[in-house]
Amino acid sequence: MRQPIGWRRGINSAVLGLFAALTVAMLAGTGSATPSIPVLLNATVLLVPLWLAFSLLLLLQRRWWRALLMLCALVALSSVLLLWADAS
Amino acid sequence: MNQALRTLNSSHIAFGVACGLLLFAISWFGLLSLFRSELMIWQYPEIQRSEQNAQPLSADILIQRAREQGFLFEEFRLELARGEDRFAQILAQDENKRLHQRVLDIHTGEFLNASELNVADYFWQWHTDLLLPKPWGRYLVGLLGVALFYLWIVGVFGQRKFARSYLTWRRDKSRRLWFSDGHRFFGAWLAPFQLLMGFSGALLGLAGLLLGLIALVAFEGDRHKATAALFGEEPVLQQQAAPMAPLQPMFAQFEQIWPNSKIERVEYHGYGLAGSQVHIRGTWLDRWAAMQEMHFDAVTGERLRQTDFTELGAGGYLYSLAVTLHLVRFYQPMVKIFYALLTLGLLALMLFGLLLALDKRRAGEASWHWLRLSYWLCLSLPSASAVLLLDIQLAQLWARAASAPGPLFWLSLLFAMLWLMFSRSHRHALQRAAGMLTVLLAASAALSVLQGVADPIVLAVDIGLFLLALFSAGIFWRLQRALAKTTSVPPQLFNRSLTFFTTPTKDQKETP
Repeated sequence: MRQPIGWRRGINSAVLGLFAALTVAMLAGTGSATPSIPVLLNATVLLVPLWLAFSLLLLLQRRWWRALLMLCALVALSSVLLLWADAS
Repeated sequence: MNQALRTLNSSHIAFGVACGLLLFAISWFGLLSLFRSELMIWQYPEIQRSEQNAQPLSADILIQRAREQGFLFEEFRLELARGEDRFAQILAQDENKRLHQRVLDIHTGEFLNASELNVADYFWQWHTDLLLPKPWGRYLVGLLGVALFYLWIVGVFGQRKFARSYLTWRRDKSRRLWFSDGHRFFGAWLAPFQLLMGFSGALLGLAGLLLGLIALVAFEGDRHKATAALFGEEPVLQQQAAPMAPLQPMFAQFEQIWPNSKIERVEYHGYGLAGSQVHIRGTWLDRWAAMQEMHFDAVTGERLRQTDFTELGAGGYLYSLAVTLHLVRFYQPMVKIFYALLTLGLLALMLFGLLLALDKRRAGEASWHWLRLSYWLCLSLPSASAVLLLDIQLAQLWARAASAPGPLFWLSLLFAMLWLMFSRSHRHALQRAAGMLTVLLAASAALSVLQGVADPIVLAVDIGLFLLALFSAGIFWRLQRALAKTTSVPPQLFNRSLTFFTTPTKDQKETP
């Protein structure tokens, strides 16, 4: 089988992955007490790798609810890690 | 092969097929843009080194000379000479946001008789914006950087035995294996370079969008506030004239704070007016940190602010590193040559990937047509670029102005495409492309040498062009030998060329 993944699944994963990565950046940015440029720069630099990682994760999961659950957990974890890195 | 690996490989192929042509174009023009300064010197004999022009002028005097020649903008930036350059560039935007750009000889301060867009800048615009209007071209290039990064991830993790690719290249089995091993071989050796270029390219291309994101999150969508937080507030200008402080003490302060740095840019906001500011930007070579910036009061010379990206956390430092590593701000010629070799490898990686995908497709599929078009365009791009180089030398020989790069490039691309479309097979097309490139590059270099070379940079460019021509000639002769072994079939555009990637017929059979 040449194309086991369809275009629709690929695009859905890319869009959802992007939203998840943007959510991390937003949570990290608004979570700090004052607008902190270093934490925002960290978040924006991580945006591209996070986008790709989340999209791949969605692409590789067969069950959508499992993918969504994992995604939510990873978004929360990444945001907390970014804020913790800023605080320390 | 399990499901996950199959998914990774499928997405690698889909992305590669969709973005291959544009990634090849960006990489090819990136290779040419590596030598942007050298090509400028090669293009303009006025700035080539001679006995008279030994001492470069200071930045203050260059600005004075530019104003004497009618460059009277209040907001402008001066891009200083880098490394062995013989020129500086002064740029400003008018009220209609139109860019005015002039090239200055750093020894005399005279404007070069250069058109607004020269060949070196044309290649640069291809690399950074794909000739599309700003900022959309930049964003597209950034997204293609993301695509390259993604291709790297799925390419590396989609293989079960990645380490084997370093030393495997079976040339005597089948055509598909040859393409596949070639693609994997270059992919394995160039993995760090591809990762670096993909990631830093994505960051640089999408920097505008990312800044917008910062603005959205932290400054209620106000981009100006976000820019001010990073680079300082805009000055409040007064409408009364004031003399400008000399730049040299400001440069000294910059180098005192960041020793062993290279100042690259001087930017005036309100030149000649009270309350104006001058922003000095450069690369701190010790830390590979670009975009280090210091703001001064342009009238008093007092330091107002500094932006040190090495102190803005890991993310800030990565931005700064991305500029240095992607734009090769090391000021070492050997590093540039190393990057050039790696980029040539990257181009080979893409070409092998394209051939492999083409070999797997059935004739007549939509992606098969797209891939063939991509293949011909990829092979035509170097020749079309070489025509621009030849035109520069012909213009010098006949003492006329060089042609506008845009129309000449597209016309050459069209002719090269047509020439390749009449080929019998992919190898025949490659042989023709190599032949064209050899003739064009050798002719450009020979014309340059015949007109006399006094400048070492011009000589280096000529040698580089000769070496590239020699490399192309090697490919040409090798393919000619291989093609001579196969039965000769007359090329017919709408007959043979539309079927040449399908199963070879008896009289067309070629050894891989």
